[in-house]
Amino acid sequence: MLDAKRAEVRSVDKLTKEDLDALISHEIQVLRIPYFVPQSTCREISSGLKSTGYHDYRNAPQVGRIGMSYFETARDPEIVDHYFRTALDNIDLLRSACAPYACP
Amino acid sequence: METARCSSAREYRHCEQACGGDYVIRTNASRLSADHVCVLAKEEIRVIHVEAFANESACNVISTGQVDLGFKPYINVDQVRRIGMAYYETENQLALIDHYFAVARENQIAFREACQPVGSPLDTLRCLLDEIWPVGANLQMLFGKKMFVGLSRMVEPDTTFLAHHDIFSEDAPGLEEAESLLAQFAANIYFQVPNKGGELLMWHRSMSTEEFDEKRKGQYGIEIDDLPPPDVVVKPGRGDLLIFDSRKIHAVASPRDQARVAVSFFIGYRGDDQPLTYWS
Repeated sequence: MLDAKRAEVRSVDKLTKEDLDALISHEIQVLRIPYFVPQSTCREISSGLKSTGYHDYRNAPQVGRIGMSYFETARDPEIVDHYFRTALDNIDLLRSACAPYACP
Repeated sequence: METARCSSAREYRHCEQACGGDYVIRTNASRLSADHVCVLAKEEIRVIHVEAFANESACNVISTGQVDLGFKPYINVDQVRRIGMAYYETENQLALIDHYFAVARENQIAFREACQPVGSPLDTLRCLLDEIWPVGANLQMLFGKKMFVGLSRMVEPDTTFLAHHDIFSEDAPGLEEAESLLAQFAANIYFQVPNKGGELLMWHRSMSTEEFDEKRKGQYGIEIDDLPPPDVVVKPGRGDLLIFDSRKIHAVASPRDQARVAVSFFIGYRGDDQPLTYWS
């Protein structure tokens, strides 16, 4: 059982089309790239994210986020408008939170 | 479908600080917009100058990382050193085109690793272009393959990057991907700049291939002294990004005290309702 679970997770050094194909075809369930972001970068960026400040999802108040997920719109036209109006600003906000590192 | 709406460059002269005359728009990464790209494509300006696109610590890490990777001369231009391979170097020879595609991905990965732990500002720019352009931006394909993007280049002190133009259809003649371009821009992010020299020099006049070949006298470009004074001169600062019209004749003034180190690529424009593409 343990081995079967391990087979569902593939760890790779770099992303390839073959690995994505395996995910698409359900051959694996998880594709993992260990240390995609260096540890020191993680520390800096997580600090930047906390300083920027998390807000709760509109429809999942237990989960904090920066930016807005399309899931939150619940297909309400006004919220969909808001989602698109703030999309680029929110990308910029995340990028600023990662500075001086590039946003991974 | 939403399309990019191009404003006149005159509007920018009221709201953005100009430098180097009326042909340069100075902005920052957060304000870079589709309008900037449009006015560049319509030749109302020559250069978009994005200040401090990469921060100081990133410039330190990346310029050191690039030097560690090792610069080598262009196959067909001894005087300019690079990491990666420009499509221009293939000179349309099949063996070199094969080599270009064979090493494309590994060179991109090498540059990305050289940027660690700060991350690649080249990747940030690729994302930004996708975000600001209404129909997005993506990596150029040729012969059904992804092209290389992100050529690191070093111009050493007292070396002049001769005046030349970059026109994709001259490097890839007869190919739809190249012939369909309405405009071509060069994007350079500078990680090390000399205190003296290293300016981007541009001339307004377009030059036919025949005239260019005659004036370059067998070299890859034209001696600056054989041209009239440049119409646009821009001195990039460390970390700055310049996006300019690469089909106009341009050169780099000799760095005097230290090498100019940058990463560069081209951006292709095929109309306001077509995706931008990029390659080196």
